[in-house]
Amino acid sequence: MQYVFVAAMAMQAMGQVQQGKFQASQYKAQAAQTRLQGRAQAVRYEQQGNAVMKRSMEAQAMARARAAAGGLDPFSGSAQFVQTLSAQDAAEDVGILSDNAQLARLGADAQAQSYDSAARYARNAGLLAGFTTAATAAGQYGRLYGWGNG
Amino acid sequence: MAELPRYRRPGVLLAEFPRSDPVHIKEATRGSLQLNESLNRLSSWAYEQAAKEAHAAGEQYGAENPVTPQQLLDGTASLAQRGSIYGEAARGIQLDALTTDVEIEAQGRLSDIKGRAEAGELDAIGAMSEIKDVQDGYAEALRKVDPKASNKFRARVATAGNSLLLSIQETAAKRAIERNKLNVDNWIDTVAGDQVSPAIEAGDTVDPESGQRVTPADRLKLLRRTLVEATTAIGDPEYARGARKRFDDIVEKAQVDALVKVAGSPDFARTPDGRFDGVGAVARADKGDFGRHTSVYAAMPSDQQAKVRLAIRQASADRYTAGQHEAAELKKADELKVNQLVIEYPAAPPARKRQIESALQAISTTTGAITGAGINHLKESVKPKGDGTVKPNEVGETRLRMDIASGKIRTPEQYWDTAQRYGVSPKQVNEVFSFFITRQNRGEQQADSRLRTAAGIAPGMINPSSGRADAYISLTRQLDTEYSKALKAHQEDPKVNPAPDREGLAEELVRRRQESPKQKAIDATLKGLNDQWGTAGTAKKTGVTFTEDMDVNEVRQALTKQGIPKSNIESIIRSLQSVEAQRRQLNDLRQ
Repeated sequence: MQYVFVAAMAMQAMGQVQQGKFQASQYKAQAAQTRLQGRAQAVRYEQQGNAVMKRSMEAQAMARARAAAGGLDPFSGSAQFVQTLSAQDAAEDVGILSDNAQLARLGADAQAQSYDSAARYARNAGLLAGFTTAATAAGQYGRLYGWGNG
Repeated sequence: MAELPRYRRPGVLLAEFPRSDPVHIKEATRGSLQLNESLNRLSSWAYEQAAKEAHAAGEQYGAENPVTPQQLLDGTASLAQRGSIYGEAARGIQLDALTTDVEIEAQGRLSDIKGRAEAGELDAIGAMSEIKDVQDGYAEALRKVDPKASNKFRARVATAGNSLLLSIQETAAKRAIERNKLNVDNWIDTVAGDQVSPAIEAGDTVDPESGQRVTPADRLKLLRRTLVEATTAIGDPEYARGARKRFDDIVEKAQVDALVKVAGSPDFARTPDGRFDGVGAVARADKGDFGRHTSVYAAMPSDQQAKVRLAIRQASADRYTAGQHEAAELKKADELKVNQLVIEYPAAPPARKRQIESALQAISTTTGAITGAGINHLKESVKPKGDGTVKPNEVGETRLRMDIASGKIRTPEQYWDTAQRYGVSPKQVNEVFSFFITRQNRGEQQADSRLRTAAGIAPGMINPSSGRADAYISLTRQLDTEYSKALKAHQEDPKVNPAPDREGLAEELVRRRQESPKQKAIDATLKGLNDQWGTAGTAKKTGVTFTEDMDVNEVRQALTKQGIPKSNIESIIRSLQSVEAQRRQLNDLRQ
């Protein structure tokens, strides 16, 4: 009967260690995925920034063209002012989008780090649970049969 | 001027700060909880094991460091401290051992108390006090160290102490009862010797203070009441019955002894020459006349009376054999005959005188009821003196004797009056007085003889049956009653009522008895039994003669031996029992 007891307790300890490892792997996978999602989001923000820049450039070009067509100096006066405004607005939006991309990247990294830590904790917890189970089992075995009597 | 196109802002907003899910914290928390749980289990188990080890170690310490009952009583008991498993275990073992030791010691002291109580060194109250000391002493000491153990001890010792006390009380009660029984036994033995016999022998007396008659039964009743009270207090019905029976047996024996002693005295019955008259004593006893002791005899049951009569007969027989009894009775009969002849002699014609002289001579040579000198004196007394005349005093004496013989003189007063009237000298008066007495006795003797015959008591019979004795006693008492009535009537009016004649009264009494319906019924029943089952019985000749006073058990045995069917035997027994009942009624003076 003692063998059944030892086997059962050993399996329980190993199971707890294995469970910790599985949990850690799961957290690792989640960390990777989170990082990937953060990068993707940052790229999307950067693409939006590029589009803003493009539209700003297009508006300035059209303003210069219209001013020129209307007989105005496209590089002075109100034409210049309108272009400056467009450039300022676009720069502001691009800055926001750039910040967003940075945030997405940083946020994803932070979350991924959390998953990494959780993975470590899970593995350690599994190990500790397995250890305590093994220790308890050893004590119970000793109480039951005594060390050196088996 | 056409409006210059400008960059239109699409409304880009700063993205929300990315919300981070603190998974690592959650996992750390979960892990910590899990670890904590595991550690809890481990520590619980470890604690449990440690507690067990501490408990075992404590018990070990407790066993190795016991506290003695003496230390407990002295207040020096050093018990393990409370507050730890080790301490509690050690203390528990110490208390268990201590309680056991205390109980053993208490039991020892209780056993000692019991032993001393049984040896009589300690009474119930002392035992109760000591039991309480044992109980309270240890319980109080234990209470200081462990109230629970104290309560448990108190409960156990109280149970043992109560049962011990009960046992001691029972023993004490038994001892007291035994002591009381011994006292009663001693009292009975002492009273038997010191008080019962004197109480009976004193006979009927008169209390000088109250003037009331005090009988032996009154004195015995007082003694018996004392005994009854003493035995009732003991509360042992069987012993009480035994003690009362013993007392009654002593009284019974003392009564018999006293009556036999009374009847054996010459004062009770004496011959003319002053000696003890055995026959007279038996006759008087048979009549139930014991003088001052008559009440003793009358109060006795019939079987005891029969014992008394038998004892008197035996006592009398110790002095006189049955033959001597018969001789004495014959002599008495001869004395009566002599008296008759002496009375007849003076007036008898010469031829008759010679016959009388011959008869007197014959008597003088057989029973000696008259001597030769007496016969000569008789002859001389009737011879003419000198001048042929009879001296006046002699005539007077003769007339006096005639009057006595004819029954004219019945009382001493009449006798003295008549003697004085006839001028009889004092010397002659004295001489003739014995004749008067004899004559009186003659009537008495003849009446008695008649009654004895009627009762079935033959002359010289030493031990008549109870039935015959009862009949005789009944008849004599009736005779005495009737004689007293007749004498009183005569004394009141002598002209109308003649002087009573005992012999005649006895005859009448016997005649009435024989003609009574009950006696006739008895006779008819006995005749029927004898005709059918007697010596010449028509049903079977059994050789048994059925009489009034047969013992039914003896009859049953005799008839069974002869093979008489049981139903017939029972029928005969019933008839005899009927005879017995009727005879009892006949003898009962109240009827």
